[in-house]
Amino acid sequence: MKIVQMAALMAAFIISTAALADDDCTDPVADWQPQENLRQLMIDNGWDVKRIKVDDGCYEVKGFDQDGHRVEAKFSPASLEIIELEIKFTGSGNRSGYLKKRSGHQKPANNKDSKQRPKVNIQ
Amino acid sequence: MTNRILIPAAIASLLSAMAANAREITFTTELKSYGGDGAYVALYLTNEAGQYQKTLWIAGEKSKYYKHLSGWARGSGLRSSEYDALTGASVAAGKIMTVTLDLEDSYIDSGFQVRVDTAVEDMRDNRNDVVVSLTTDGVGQTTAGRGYVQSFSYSF
Repeated sequence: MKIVQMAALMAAFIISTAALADDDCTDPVADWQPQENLRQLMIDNGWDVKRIKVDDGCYEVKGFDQDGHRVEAKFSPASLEIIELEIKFTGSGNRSGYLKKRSGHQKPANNKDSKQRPKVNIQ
Repeated sequence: MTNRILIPAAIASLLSAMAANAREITFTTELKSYGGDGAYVALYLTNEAGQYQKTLWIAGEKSKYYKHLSGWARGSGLRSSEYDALTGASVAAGKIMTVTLDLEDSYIDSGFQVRVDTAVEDMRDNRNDVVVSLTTDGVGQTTAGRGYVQSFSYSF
């Protein structure tokens, strides 16, 4: 009886470990496109690609976009569709090509305790 | 039914009373050209003994890095309720950040201090980069920081 209980416990542990190790991208490896395709795609878009690596089952690209902003992006390795994009706006490069994300995603002020959002300006 | 009406009325009168005893205050923080990524900056109030009172502003959007603002992190316990709606973009080297907010009069000339903690990726963290008392006499006075802060002042 104890053996059955132990086996059940171990099976549960293995399943939970597998769940924790889930990747962000789940494309079958057989469908993956070569990294060179992605590199060429980004170069065609004006990016300066510094590195491509595999992270959590996705292609991760680090480099600079067409305006010189530092970028880090994740792509689906099979479709080469972009999944995640992080941009660091530095210097006086043009930012108009990107959506004004912040204006639409600001958290509403917490009215519960009358906390007012300060006015902040960075020059 | 009467109670339901009375309670919002009481809250409204309390809020208006609080607003009457508050004043608009602007904190100006200029960073040095330290040659690194954007700085995370915590602006917060403590009492004379250095005990945390409230968060004024956190510059820096990723909460996983807030622990590096160590003085503020210890005081606030990193509870999101402490900094909800009080966060924004990090501040690049050499830039000036101005934060304008309404602050209760009870914090002014009563021994409370404004503190600034700063942190930059791959560089050192600065607890108490700036510590200044919040007084009427201190309005317009510029204080130099110990870390990435070039100068700090407030006005009301």
